[in-house]
Amino acid sequence: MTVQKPTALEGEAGFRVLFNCATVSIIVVNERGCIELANPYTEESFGYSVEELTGEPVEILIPEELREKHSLIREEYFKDPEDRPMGLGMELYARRKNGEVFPVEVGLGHYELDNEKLAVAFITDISEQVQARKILADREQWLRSMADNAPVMIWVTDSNGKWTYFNKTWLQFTGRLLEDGLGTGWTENVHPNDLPRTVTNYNNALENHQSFSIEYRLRRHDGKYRWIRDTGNPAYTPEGEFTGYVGCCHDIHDQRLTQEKLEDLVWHRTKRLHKVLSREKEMNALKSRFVSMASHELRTPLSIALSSLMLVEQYGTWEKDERVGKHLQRIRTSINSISTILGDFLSLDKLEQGKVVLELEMFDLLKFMYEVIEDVKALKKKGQHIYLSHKGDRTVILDRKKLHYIMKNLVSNAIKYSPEYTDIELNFENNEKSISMMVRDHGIGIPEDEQQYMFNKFFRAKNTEGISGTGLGMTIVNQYVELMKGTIHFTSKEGEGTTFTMEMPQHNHENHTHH
Amino acid sequence: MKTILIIEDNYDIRDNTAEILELADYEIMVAEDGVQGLYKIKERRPDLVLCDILMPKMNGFEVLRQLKNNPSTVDIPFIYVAASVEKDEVLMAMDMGADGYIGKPFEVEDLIEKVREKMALLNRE
Repeated sequence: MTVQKPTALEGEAGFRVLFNCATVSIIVVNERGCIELANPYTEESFGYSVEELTGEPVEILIPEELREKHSLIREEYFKDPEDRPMGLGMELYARRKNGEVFPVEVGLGHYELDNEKLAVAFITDISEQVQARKILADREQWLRSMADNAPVMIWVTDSNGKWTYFNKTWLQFTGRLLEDGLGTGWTENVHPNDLPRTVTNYNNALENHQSFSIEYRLRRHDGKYRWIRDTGNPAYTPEGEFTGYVGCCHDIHDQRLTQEKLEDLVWHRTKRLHKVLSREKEMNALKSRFVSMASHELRTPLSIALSSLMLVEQYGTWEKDERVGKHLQRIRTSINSISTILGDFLSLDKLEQGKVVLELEMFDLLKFMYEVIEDVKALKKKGQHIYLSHKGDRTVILDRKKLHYIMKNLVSNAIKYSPEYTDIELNFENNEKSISMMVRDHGIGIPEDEQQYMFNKFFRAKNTEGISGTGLGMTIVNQYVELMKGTIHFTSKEGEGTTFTMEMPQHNHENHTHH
Repeated sequence: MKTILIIEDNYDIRDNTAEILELADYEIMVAEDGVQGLYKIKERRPDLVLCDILMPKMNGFEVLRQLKNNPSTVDIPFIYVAASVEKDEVLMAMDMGADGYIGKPFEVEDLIEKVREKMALLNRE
């Protein structure tokens, strides 16, 4: 076993190593304030050589304006020297040879050698720390200034939801001090009626760390409550730890009042509209009842007139006088047209009320067309001929009664609006996809600028003057076609004639009733 | 000669219809409402009934119902002659067993044609 050799650092040599290699300045000062010893780092730090410093007053290392004060403090120190660690928060400055002043921390130690009091100063250059602190402070000042001058009220909470910060805008709005609002103090400014709801919403959001947006009335510095919208977002550290909320309040008072006014206005308008609508509905119902009643009641006198007319004809006393016959015929035509008009009124009313339904049946379209031609025979003028052509299967499934109305209307119009000695062509084609029907005349035509109104209620073209009609027929035709899911088109030229083309979809055999 | 009963509350229509059918060689009985109509049928069975729908005391539907419920009258041909243009009413009339429907105002030819048609069916039986 060998006794461990003392390390070099324990001896004089060791001290030398420490003294020479330390990265702090180490200076030994005597009672008179003169530098006895300085380590090499002092040279590096202050720019003086050790030789230059030795024997010089320590104040050489201190800014000129502090030297006098320092020498007094130094003298006091030597009266009752004590050790002092570094960083007691004192702001100390040192001076380099080139006059540059820099912040330092100084630790002091003391000892006596040969009855002389000596002080050892350990000086650390803290320029970088000070610089870093300043940057931080500037940064915080910048942030605070931004928050305080923001045109919204900003607040921050801790992770428990207690408010820890309000910006100047909030404080100015409420007229309160920061301390007043901290924690849950802010709730004192919330309108009592809004408070329970606000607190509940806030706590619910907090529980789940969710964003929230709450509207409530906040008391202003003048005691008036203003509507604000308070929006909060959860904040997290980069590690994902919830740190609380950051939020802001917007004054939405004027906006809200405007909105309330608008809503009020809308409510009133809607109410008025409802009233108008219900009156309109009532009027419609009344109209329907009237149309139905009138047409029913008018049918009785028409029945009498028509049957009496027939009886007059039967008794034949007029046979000797052609003029009587002509007038009897006029009476008959007039009664029939009143009857037709009544029917149209009633049909249209029922269409408008949505009471008309599709009634499909299977029938022979050719036979049907001959019936139509037979029905309108009496209307034909001198020399008018109706030609019928067809192609494809004669058997169709369609709403027979509605198609009868449509075809009778189209063909009688063709007769009515065509001069004597003109031909009227009827055609139908039944193919797999659809049944198309066509009625063509060589009559007066429809003026081009009026063609768009063709299916409008009560529309009559300007060139129909002197030809009787209600302007309801084509409206009903169009609606019937629509009901039958078909289409109707026409081409027309004034003075040359009109061609109506209809296209009806095929219905399958399951969806109709046999007659 | 075949007999026709006309049940119709309007005097003019009743009278005109009777006159028209008399000219067509039918014997006519008349009644001015449903109750009277049923009474007349009980008194003397007609070969055919022409009946209005909307009438005082008893409407046409009820007249038909009672005729159809009585074995001795169930097979009398029954034709409605009515101003009613309501589709539903017509359908209802046909469903109840009416043999025909003539809307007012009717063309005389239509009336006579329909009556003759029903009478011809009677002759065949």
